[in-house]
Amino acid sequence: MLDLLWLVPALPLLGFLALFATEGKLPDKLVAVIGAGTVGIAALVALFAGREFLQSGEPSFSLSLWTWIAVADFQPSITLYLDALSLVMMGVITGVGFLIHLYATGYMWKDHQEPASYSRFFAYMNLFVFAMLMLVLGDNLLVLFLGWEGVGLCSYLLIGFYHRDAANGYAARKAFVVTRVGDTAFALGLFLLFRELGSLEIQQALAASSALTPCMATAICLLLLGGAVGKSAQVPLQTWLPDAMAGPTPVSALIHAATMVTAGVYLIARMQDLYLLSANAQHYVAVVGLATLLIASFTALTQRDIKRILAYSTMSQIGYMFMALGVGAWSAAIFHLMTHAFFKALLFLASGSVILALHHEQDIFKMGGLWKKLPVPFWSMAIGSGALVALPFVTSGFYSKDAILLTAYDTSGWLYWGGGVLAAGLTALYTTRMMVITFFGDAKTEPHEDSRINMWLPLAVLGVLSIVGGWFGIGVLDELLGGLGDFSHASPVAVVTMAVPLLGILLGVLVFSGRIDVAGFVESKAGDALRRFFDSGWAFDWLYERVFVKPFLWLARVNKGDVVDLIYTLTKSITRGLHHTGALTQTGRLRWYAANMAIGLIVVLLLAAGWL
Amino acid sequence: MAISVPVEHVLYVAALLFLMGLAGVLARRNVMFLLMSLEVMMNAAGLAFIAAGAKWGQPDGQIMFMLILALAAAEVAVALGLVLQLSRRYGTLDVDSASELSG
Amino acid sequence: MILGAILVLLAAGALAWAAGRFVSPNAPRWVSMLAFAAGLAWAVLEWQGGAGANGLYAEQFIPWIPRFGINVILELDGLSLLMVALTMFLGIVAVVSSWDEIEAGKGFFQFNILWVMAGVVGVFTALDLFLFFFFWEVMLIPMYFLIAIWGHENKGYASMKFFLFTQISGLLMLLAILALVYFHHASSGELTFGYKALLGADISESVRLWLMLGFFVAFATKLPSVPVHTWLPDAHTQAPTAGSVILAGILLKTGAYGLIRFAVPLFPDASQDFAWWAMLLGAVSVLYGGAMAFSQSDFKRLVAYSSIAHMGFILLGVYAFNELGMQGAIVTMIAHGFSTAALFMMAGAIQHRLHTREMSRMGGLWVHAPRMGVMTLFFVVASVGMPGLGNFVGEFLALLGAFRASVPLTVAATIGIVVAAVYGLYLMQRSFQGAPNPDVAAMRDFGAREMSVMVLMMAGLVWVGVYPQPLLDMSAATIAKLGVLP
Repeated sequence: MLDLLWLVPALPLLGFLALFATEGKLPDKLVAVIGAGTVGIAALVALFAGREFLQSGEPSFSLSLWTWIAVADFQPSITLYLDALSLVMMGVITGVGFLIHLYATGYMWKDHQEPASYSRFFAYMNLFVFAMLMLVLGDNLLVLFLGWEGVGLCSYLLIGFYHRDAANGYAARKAFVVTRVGDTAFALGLFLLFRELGSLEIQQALAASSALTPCMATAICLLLLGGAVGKSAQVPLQTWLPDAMAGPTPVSALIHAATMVTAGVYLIARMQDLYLLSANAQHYVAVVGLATLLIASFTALTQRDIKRILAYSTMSQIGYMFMALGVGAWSAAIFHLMTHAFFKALLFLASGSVILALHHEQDIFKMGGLWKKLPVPFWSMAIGSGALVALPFVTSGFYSKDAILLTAYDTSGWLYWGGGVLAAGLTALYTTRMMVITFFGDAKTEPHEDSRINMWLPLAVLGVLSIVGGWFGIGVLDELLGGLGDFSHASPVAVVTMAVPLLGILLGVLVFSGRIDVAGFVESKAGDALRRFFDSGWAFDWLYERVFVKPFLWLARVNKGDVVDLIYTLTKSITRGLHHTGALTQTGRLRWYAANMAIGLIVVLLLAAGWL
Repeated sequence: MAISVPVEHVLYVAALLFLMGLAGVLARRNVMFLLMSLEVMMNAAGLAFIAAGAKWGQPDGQIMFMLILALAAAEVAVALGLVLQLSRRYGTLDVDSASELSG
Repeated sequence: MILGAILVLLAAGALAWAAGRFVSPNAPRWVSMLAFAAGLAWAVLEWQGGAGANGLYAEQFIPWIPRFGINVILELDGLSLLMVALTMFLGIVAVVSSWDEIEAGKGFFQFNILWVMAGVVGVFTALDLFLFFFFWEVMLIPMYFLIAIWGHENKGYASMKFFLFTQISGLLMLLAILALVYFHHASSGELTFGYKALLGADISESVRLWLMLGFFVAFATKLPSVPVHTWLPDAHTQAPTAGSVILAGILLKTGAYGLIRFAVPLFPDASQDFAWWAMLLGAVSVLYGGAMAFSQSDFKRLVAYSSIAHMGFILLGVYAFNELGMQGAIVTMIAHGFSTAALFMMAGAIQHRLHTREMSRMGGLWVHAPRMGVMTLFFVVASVGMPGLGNFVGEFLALLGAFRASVPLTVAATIGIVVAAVYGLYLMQRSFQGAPNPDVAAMRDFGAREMSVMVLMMAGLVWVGVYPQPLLDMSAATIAKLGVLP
């Protein structure tokens, strides 16, 4: 089975090719079978391959397919590499990916904007799964980069899926271009890595990396961090993620919550040995994580769009993962990546059901009182929110977040721990706000629930995973990756870590159900300014618009005619001018010519006589 | 036997004649006078040739003069045709009226 | 055999012209189609036949003007064969892309296409500088006619500009060739235009630089590189579709080929001294071409400027003076040949249907023509540099090589890939996405004829993208023989 590992990425690729080649002429049911089926089978293959890999007891397995490029000493090959880390990632991608595909077969069913859009959707989704699998399975940074850019492309295609609306196109381009900025840093990191170590093969490079000077190691790490920051929507390249919610909700669940945005975490975890060489770079990873964590949590407090709330919460949860990587809690980061994939996919899919039931209404202030009318989405959201908030002991999010915060306290002192706990409180606050306003209070829009098995089954499975994924995951991951040993929940730090989210929930319930009146502050001038500042995502968009976008557009506008061409048009004009001047002497008057000849003759004679 | 006229004197006369002709070409607008001035210039050149031939005792000067005579005859033939055309087309003998070939 | 191929193309040109006159106006396109198909088959056969012991797939030597040391020397090595095969293939693409675009003078049109391509094949195989210059001119004149006769609204200006740029820079090269031959004669007593003899010419250092610059200017103009690029947007925009396909797909590559084959090996030391400046021009081309592409509102003009950006990578790669860079430049030549030819074909198809190139008058075309939309998307994504497609392999290798030569310039050029994303996706947005433009009533989608060519080009790009090794092996042999790399 392990030799069939290539089938895992190949099956979704096959699905893509089939849907692509048939140009959307297949019946929708067949499209659904191909779209979800290929990913499902890939998940099964991954499961069996993973089991066999674990039974073999080897630390890694690689499957060489072919040499991609061989030029001089640059010899990247297309090789699949399986170890504990890529196994976890492969499991998440195919498993959660399959559930989301299954959900999407229902969600997109009636979404016929135009012919063939159902097929187009699944073609893009399958291509995405393929690219994401190449990203995590590639044993070479160039193959990783292939997947990296591939998922970026699919993200672009799916954000702009409803391409008739220019705003979606804008969001899609923004996502692609902003992540491309990070990718540029990533590419430069690859160039530098190759120049210094002579190989892009990950294991080889890591093994040779101890020869790097600390300065060089820091440079490489920071360049790679640049790529990770772009893809994972961390400060300062985070601005694309909220806009990316323009895509259909299953896309947000798969790409912008569960898998693609965590690619940066994967990259850094994969290059762990390199980061261990540079305490500086690792420190920056933690700083980036903490900054994103806090900025995104505050921003989520003021959003009205349910998907944007979830987007900001995704940013902040990935911030936790970055912080974990920065403080050396490698396994905890991957653990949180896994649980986050479960509960955030659940939250997005459940919110998708709510949105669908309300005829594409996304403003939480136009919802309300839905908890009885939409029981399946409500309970799913409730479980997901519980895991997001990290309710002690009963949710998966608790175990992973706890592992991060307690490790941070142990290795890096109170700063990261404090920031993380503060953000955990904020998480509880905004999640409670979302739940209270969406599901309780007065009903503002009448829902119609249309829940089929292919939609509630994934919710149910993800709900179960969001609860038991913690107990189950911590054991499995500890065995695979190590470093997740018992944390004592009795120390004062642990108790505070547990209590803060509960306080956040309590405060949230009191404030948002109106028992504590905060209107006075919110409506004051300072409160309003603060709200608008948070609402704009800390004005990053505003800043970038002025620093990068406007100058570039200005340059494009003034230089449309190509200033370099002036050299040649000027040459042309000067020649023309001389020509016209010369033509002036050609009067057509015989006597003028004769006079000129005479003068010319005199000049020549004088010259010849040497008098001039 | 012969009164010896210094060759410089003859050349002065020739130069004077040439300048008179040139002045005529530059100053007159009537095409007939223009042609006559041209003739004067050619004859000035001819005179210079004769003088030079006499000075060196060579026949070349006189041969050149005959060549100039032939040239003048040919030129007059063409030029009179042009004069006729000019007067027929423009109804005047003013050369400046035919200044169409300007740049 | 090589001369035979060139003569077949020339003869097919005459035949096409005659067929258009005496048989039927639609006969010429079939004649050129057949000629290019035969040429492609020949190239593939030579490839399959494998290289001889000297690394050549075919060679030919015929004395021409022995008194001046001028001979017909034609050689087909790995690089030449790749370029010739690409030429023949793009010949087919060009014919298909102008299948029913040309109204008047169909025979003479095909004549010009065939003669341009004959000249190009000559340029790619000639190893005698006189013969090379001869073919260099042969490909210029028919191209001028293609633009001047069948071009669009501003064809006179564009064709004259194209002609002047190419001709003036070509004359500089001619001067350099003559001077090179003269100095070689002076130092060795042997009067020859033969490439191999001139490779080792003993020329003083100060002269060498100027001769190298003569070649460099000619090739950089053809490539084109900033600041001698301004003929290209005009020529591309005004040319008929087939003309744009040939210009972008092949003619630009003759500049790149000239750099690799002549400018660098003939003057290795001078080129090495000049390398930083050439790379600077490359990096500037990448950024400036990208920024200019974004400014454009004309579909074709945008693609034209994007070509300038892509050619910048070639300059970077060639003057990095290492194998990675050189291979990157060669792969970029091939991949760009596919991707840009396809985009120009698309521009032509849109103009044929909508009678405009202005993107403000497009928008939402996907609704009318999903196949065209998918194809445009694919080739835009390829030219943006998506891994797995040809352009990525070329550009990545070129940058990887350039990084070893100059870090700041490589950083600058790498920023260019962000700009590429900006203009590429903006092109997609303004033409095919967004709300359907109400002025566009209906538009015929691609049919089987266009799709088959497009699918072939897609397959080509995927092949170069995921398994470029056969291609790299072929050019590796050539690069090793050039002997300029340390």
